[in-house]
Amino acid sequence: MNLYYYAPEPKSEELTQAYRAIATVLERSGATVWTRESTAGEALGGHSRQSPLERVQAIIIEGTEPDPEVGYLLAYAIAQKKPALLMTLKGRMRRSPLETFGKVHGIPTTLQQAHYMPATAEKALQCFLERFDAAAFPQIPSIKFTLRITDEIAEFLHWKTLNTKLSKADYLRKAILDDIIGKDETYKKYRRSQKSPKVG
Amino acid sequence: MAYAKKTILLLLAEPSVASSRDGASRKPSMVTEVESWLAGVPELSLVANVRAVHLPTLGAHEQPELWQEASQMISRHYRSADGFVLVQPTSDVPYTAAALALMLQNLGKPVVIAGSADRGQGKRGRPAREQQWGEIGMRANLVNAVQFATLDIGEVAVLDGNALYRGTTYTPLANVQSAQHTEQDCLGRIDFGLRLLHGYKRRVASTLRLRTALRPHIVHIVATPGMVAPVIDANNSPTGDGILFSLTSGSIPPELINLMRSYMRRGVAAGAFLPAACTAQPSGFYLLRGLTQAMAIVKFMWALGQGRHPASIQKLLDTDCAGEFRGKTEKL
Repeated sequence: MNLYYYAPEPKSEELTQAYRAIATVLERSGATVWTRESTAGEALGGHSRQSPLERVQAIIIEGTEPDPEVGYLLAYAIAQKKPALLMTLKGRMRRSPLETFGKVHGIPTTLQQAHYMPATAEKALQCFLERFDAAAFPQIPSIKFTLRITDEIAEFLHWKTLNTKLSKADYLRKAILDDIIGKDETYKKYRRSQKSPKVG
Repeated sequence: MAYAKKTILLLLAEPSVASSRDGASRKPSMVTEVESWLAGVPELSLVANVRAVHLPTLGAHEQPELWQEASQMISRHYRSADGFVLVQPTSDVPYTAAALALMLQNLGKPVVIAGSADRGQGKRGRPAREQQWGEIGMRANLVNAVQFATLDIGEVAVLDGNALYRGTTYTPLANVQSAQHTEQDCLGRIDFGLRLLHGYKRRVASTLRLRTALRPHIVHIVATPGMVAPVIDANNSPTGDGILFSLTSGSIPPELINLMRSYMRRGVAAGAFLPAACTAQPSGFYLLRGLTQAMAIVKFMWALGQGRHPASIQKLLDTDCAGEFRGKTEKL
């Protein structure tokens, strides 16, 4: 799992400790954690017209201090329907960036807020990360891929999806996930070997 | 310390991201519907204070009117907005970027142009889920465009994929050959967050000067090797404001030079565009060089609209008015 963790420049020792607490918990989580200092570039895979943010599964934002990047990341997460966690230090936050937004528009289910202390950062993050299952956060196909096909394939897809609720693209996605990736033991073994705790 | 959110004016040119069925999005053909459309993309309010205006529905042949309307709208709101975002079909973006850069002289704020679904990409028959997935990319693109418009940029720029390009030298990535996109052209990237690179013009407090006059009825011909002048002449009677030949080689065939001179004598502006720097000198016709094709076409229209005397028009074509030559902009 790839996560992006954003925290602005800390303006106090208290915030420095808080940011560090979050980073420590994330390091132990088993996820690959990227920060704004990371030069993700091609490391996350995907093609060059994609931003690294598109390739992470979730965004963790420390938003205690007002920061324009926080608003942007929240907006991006909502637009992309990407799971995001906004963490704010208890007693420090005067006004959450989501306060007005939530009252007017309602906060999307993919977005969570957590008020924490450094000692409770782990619990807040665990609660968020435990929601990561297929039912809670279905993978959203966001990568455009052009594939030229033959008449025979086109005819098959048309026949296969006629009078069904499944589109040709949905059918192909399902077939790739279930019949190709699902049955490729070598790839599964490779994926298991990639899940090692590190911070990018 | 709290920061104040910037105010961004969003100009919606039809068809746009608003032509979807996602949430409250509808075709914003009326002023009241623009507000309704904006309510369908509430995440923008987290980035900036966004106001939206709708530019009238226009076809491809009415792009010059769109450029003028957009320029006037930007001028009208120049003092009250911190930045501008224009959303329009992707295929039109290079021309609009070129036009706005020329028309908005002394620009000191960002004008970010973002492409949306092209005309003809109908959604009829597409399952709702596919429409939804398609919308996600467009919404994120809009968030990125608005965010770029809050940054310290003072020029026209194009958001394409995960990068921001200088509007005057922008060529769609699909059309880029060899090293046309240089480091100079890329103003910023979407990495983890938005990062501005070097070489961009910074925001400045400035008085915007509009120069929107242009002669829009230009015939553009790509002159391929072997194209015979009499054939061109027979197929293109001298009407409209002008005719521009795009050449792929560094020289102009003598018969084409004669043809252009004959057009000029008949009162039709004729010009040749050579993409690379060349030693050819204009004599009895106009010469454009060292520009992108989109900029050449638009600048030809624009220069013809700015002056009457051929010498003054040619001088404008040779002057770097908005960074289109990738060099220092000269004051007009």
